[in-house]
Amino acid sequence: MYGIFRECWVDLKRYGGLENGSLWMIFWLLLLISSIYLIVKESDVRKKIVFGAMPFVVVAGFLFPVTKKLFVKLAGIESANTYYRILWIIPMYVTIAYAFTKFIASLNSAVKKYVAACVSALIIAVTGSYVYANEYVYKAENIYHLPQNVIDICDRIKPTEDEGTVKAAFTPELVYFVRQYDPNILMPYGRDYVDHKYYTGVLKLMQEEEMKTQELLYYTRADLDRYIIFPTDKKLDEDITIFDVKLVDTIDGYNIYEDTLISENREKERENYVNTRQNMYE
Amino acid sequence: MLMTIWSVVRLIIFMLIVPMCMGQLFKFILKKELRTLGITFVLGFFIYSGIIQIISILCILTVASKPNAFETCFKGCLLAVLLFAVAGCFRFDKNMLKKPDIKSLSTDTRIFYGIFFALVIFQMVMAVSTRIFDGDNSFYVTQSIIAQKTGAMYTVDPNKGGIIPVDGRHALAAIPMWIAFIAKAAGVHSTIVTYTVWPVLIIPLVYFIFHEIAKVLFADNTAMIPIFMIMVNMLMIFGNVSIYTPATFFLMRTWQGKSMLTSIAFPAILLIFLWMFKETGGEEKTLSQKASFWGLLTLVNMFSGMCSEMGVMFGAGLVALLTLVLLYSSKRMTVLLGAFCSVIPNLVYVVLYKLM
Repeated sequence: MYGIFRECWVDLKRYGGLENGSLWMIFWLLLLISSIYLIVKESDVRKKIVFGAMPFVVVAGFLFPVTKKLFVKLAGIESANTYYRILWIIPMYVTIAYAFTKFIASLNSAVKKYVAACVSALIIAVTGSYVYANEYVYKAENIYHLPQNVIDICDRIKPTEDEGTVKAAFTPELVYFVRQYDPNILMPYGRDYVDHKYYTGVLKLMQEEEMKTQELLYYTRADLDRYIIFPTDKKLDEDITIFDVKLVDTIDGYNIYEDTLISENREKERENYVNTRQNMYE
Repeated sequence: MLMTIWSVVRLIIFMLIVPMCMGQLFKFILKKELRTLGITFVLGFFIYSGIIQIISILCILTVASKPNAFETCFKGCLLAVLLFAVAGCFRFDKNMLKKPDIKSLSTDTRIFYGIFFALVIFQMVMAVSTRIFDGDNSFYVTQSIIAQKTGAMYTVDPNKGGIIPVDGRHALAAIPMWIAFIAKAAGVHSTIVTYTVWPVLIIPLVYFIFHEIAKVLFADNTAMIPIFMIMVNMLMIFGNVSIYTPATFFLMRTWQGKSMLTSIAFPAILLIFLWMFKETGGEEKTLSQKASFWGLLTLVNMFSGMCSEMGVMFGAGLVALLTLVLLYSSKRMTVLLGAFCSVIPNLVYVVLYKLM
């Protein structure tokens, strides 16, 4: 039980921003002070309970090991990492904003109110973290909000209406966006393989410093990938173009190779290539 | 150019006019003093989501395995949505369109409101002008575009492509189908609707709900409302203390169900209970007056289920906690009946999750 409590405690700290050092405490302190202030100052008992007592009840329930056991039993072990979402039912922002505003309202002169409003906003800004400064926020390059190079690459390789779909092996950093733009482009691995570290031969090679060309083609040909896309500076142990693969374009630092055994439907040669190497790579 | 203008017009129709008209049609469930333009829109928004949700789930349960399942879903949704919206047009209350009385506000209050609106507009501009990376988008956003372009409903692997069995946990949270519906109806790529258009609707909607909460909290000191709203805005903008906070979800994953659960559904549940707290005491209310809030709460609970699997559980949990407070303050056992009725959608969802 103590072990589960420790897990919940770490979850609570992470929710408040454990990665930022001891700042996680400030986040919870803001809520704590606001709730206590409302318990003391709020005259309406219902608001006192909702904004004063309820946050304590939810946090206590969250830290109580039985709650987590129950949660895992109901939601399944695969959802255990979403346990922190119980904390969402605390009306956190309303509580903090209500306490701050109530305090400002209690001041008797207009000047004091303006100063208090500015100081409150400043406290929130200084103790918080500016959302648009997050490392994952970028300037939008287009109306799709996808990297422009992905759109350009997809436009270059997209299937015709007759073809329906096309298979392409992308370098891992691009797989997140490809199918958000064109679902008719299929891939040997997607975001799930990259993020959850699932095994697949192409991904393993793409993540190596130097790719083994024949092994790469073994996997892509077995998967019927017509195109292979990776950065221009990616090292290969052999020149890929000597294996019936041609460079069709280079877009924003990515080479697009087309496998002619697949594009020209040279099925026997493809099968032969795959079969002769099967024992080597599987 | 003309095509673009026509798409923008259709986006306005399906994202603004349709929910407004639906709200007009069903505004009779609202108490008279709540029949404002904004609250009517919010009501319409929840009804709109409910219609899409019911039809989507029916299609997932019946025709998902067939090719072009989304086509069937789209036609059903379009028919129902247009039927309700057109009917709502005829019940449009023009009195709602009167301008707010700005002149009665003091200069200070106007300045604070100005700051509040500027902060909201800032977030909307940032939502349109920035690209925010989140791995989960590869799942949710791709589901919408798959539905729109290929007609499949959760039967195509969004990560790689290829056929997969329907995964109930994700399929029942039908927000991506709602976005796909709007995208198809407007003739716009789903990814554009998701990232660029959806936040422009959702961000002001969220702050509208918070503004309604402020109106209840500061009913006797309305000058404080814009200050409260500035504080909420600041908490959101500077709320990225971790990847888990509602603020992070709200501004970095606006289009995901989880985000709408925490930024729309939960504040809406709180708002409805604050309205009910206000109503306790005073003269005895008629059954229809009492049922009004519970009916609205039922719609919000439906929306919670549409947002996320977790919404079913947490939405019911929040309702349970707030019902205890209401029970304590009203001393009426009937609130338990109202609360039970309002979580029926949650119970239906639990059964569906067990079945799938």
